[in-house]
Amino acid sequence: MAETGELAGRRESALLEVRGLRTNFNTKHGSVRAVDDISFSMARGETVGIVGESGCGKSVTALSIMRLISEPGRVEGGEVLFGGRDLLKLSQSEMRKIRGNKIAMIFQEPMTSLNPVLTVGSQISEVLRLHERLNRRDAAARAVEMLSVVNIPAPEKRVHEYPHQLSGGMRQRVMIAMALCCKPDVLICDEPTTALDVTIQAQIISLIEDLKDKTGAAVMMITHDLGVISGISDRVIVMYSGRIIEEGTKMDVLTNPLHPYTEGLLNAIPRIDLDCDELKVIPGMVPNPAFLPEGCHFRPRCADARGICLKEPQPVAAAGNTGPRTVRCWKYLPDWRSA
Amino acid sequence: MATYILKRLLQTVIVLWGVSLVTFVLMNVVPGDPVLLMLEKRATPEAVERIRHEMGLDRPKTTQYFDFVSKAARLDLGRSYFTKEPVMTALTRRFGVTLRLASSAYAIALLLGISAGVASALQRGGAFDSLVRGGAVIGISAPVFWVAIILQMSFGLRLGWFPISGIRSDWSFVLPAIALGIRYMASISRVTRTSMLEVISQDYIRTARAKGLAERVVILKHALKNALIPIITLAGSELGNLLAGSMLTEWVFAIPGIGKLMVDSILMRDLPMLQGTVLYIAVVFVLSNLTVDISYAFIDPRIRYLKGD
Amino acid sequence: MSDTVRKDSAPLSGLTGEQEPKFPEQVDGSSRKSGGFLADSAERLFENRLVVASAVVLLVLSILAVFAPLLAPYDPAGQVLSDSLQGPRANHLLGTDEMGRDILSRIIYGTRISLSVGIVSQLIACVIGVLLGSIAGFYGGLTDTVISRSIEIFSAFPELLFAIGIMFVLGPGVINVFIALGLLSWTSYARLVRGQVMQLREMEYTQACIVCGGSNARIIVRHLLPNCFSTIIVLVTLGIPGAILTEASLSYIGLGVQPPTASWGQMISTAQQYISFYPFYSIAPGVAIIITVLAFNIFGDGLRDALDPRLRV
Repeated sequence: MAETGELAGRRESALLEVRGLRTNFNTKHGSVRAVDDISFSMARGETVGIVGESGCGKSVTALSIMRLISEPGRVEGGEVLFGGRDLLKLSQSEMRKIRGNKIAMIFQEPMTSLNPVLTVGSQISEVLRLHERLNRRDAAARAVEMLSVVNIPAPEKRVHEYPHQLSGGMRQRVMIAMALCCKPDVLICDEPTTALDVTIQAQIISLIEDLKDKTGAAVMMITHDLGVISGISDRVIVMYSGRIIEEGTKMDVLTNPLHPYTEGLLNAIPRIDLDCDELKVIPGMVPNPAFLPEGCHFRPRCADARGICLKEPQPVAAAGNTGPRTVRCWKYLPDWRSA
Repeated sequence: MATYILKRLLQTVIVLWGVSLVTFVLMNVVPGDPVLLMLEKRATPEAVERIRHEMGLDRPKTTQYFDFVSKAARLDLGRSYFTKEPVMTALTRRFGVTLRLASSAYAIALLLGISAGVASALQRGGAFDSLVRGGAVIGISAPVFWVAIILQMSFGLRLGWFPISGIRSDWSFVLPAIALGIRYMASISRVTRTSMLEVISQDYIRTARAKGLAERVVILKHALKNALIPIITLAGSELGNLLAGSMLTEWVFAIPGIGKLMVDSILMRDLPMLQGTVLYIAVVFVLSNLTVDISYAFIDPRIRYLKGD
Repeated sequence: MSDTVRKDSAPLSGLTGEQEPKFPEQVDGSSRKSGGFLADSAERLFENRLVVASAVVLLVLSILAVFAPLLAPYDPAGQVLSDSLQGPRANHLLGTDEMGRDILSRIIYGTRISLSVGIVSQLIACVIGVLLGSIAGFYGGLTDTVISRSIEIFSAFPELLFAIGIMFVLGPGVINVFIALGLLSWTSYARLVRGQVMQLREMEYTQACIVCGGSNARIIVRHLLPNCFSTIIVLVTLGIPGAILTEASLSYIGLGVQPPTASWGQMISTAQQYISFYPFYSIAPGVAIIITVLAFNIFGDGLRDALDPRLRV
């Protein structure tokens, strides 16, 4: 496999690298594995899209990287390498120096993610005063500047307003300003547009894309919307039931999906350029994380499943046209033909 | 915002008018002739009639009521039947004592109640949480006067650490303030805990953590300010109950405050004095509720925005 | 590949039939067998061991109150002056009071006063409050304004102060305590029922009833109030401990139940004179009050969480 060497080469230059990350939720019914052995890396200035249905573990992955998983969840294993250090081994105070500074995050719900009793200005300048040690006046001035960077009109007025006085799109712009004000190396966006109107969604996405180019930050774009992915990502990671099942460049994954699940996802998108009478849907439902099927988690819904799928498939490198790619499916393993 | 405050003020005026009416009606349907109560049993009918006229008791009830309201508005609440002292003078003289007792109790309740509630919410399910929750439910279940008696007996009488009655020094206020404060401390810690638990599961707390803020800042700045809203409501509505509760505490510890004045006037059936104290406590209660409502607007910008225009 | 950014989650949620995969906590919830509202509530209520314990305590207290003449070892009024103010011992488990009466028997008889005051006063308050609250909520307009203002005026007095005022006018006695505490607490029922009726009035099914020409009284009684039922039950249960405490305070200052009837508050008041050498006399009735009020508070909290969590402060 020629790509393995190339993959290894990429890893050395990686800005952020996640290795074997596992996060569990402990419930009365025992431990539920929300994120199971996730590994991927991000290079400087790269946009990686993580796609999957809600509950597949993409948000938990992001929160685990930030170490913001709260009870009853726990990161059980793995490494998150950033700047030569394993974030999972840092002390709380060292981790706080990274959060909001080197790695920033934007959340799904702009309506509830801003503190209702503080002005947007003070919420932005708080980050600057903390990480850049600015004094009150300089931080306030920078907050106004940041609001204009994210294209909020009349920023010197808006800075004194409270979140409830702003629209959803405006609030998400404030979140972006807050996340970018310390020029982070990595920006994690957890479904940043899901709660917004369609027209606003496109604006927010292009704003993120634009600011990424200006600041050179690597962006992790978590979404369930393949449209968002196709708009901005360099690379795509597809997750299903807590695992990465396919990874590759955007072009490869979207035009030539290898995993039956990815194929199903793409088939389910309504397309204007093709005549079709009905959308194809993947039969069945996402498995309950407390009762995962044996072997490949997608097996019960997979049209191609065979007996061998009862055993756990391992990720395998596959041929990509525009870059390295991996897939986690027995179909691409040598044992498939004999099964 | 100004409209909101104005509206609220107008409402308060109506409530105050209702309070005066209720107080007046209560005191005028009391069985027994107040004049006969005041005078010696052997007073001549002429003397009774003369005093009745002097006090204006022979006029129609409506005239008496308007008289009462217009005088009360000028802070004239009549004179005590027995000491002949103006009721207002007696109230002002004793107000300081009650204020001192109530504010110390209030401070204890707020300070310890909020910190216990916050700590308990942060360690949900832990030993400290169980302790606070258990202590709080016992605290709201114990009668104030009984707690006062038990404290008086154990720390005053048995151990001799604090004075058991009267006000000789600042130490005299310690036991009464604790006795009075415990109940409100309990209810405030309960509300704080519930409110904090709700707030710390909110998205904006996660945002605050994602910014890299220290846990102390997340809790004290981002969480507590949001959690304060229900706490203020409770603290405001409990202020009146605290004043009423101070009545029994003052009685147990023989502290010459408004509460003791009221219980004394009940026992002596001193109507003007009783009417005055009831009106007085009700007015303080109404005004404290008004203050709470207005202070919301400063803490929660959403109210300022919604009700202000 | 289309470059439009989609708002709806069509590509993925379409596959799953809108079924959100449940996360651990929710998994617990969904695994619960569902068996009707009452069965569910009862199951939730008795899940908590503390609530079960408080229910047992309340049951024991009710039995003590009802069968006091059978269960009390002595006549609560039986004086043996030669045997006064003696501490606990074999034949008088909680000792004797200043007239040589058995304290345990007086405390057992005291449950009758406390429980009946708590329950009857809340029922009175409930009737007044539900009546006025539903009228205000249903009719709105001027009726609502008058009733709402009265609620405000009546709640402008601190509870104990108001109770003292009414008792002062009515004079002491158990019946008067019922009335005073009933008049004191109707406002909280009225306020809640008014709010709920107002909301329910706007529901389609109520509107349908109005259109069909159902009489107002019928709509209120048959359609609106049953929906407020669980709220009312919770309010009654949580109102009882407050009433018991207020009765104790009234009796303590001599405005409540009069001697020789045994009431806990009044026992504490009498015992206070002997506190320097016989503190046990003061402690015993206080503990009785705490146990009773505590049991009602815990049971009420449990009931609220099971029936109507929205009432949580």
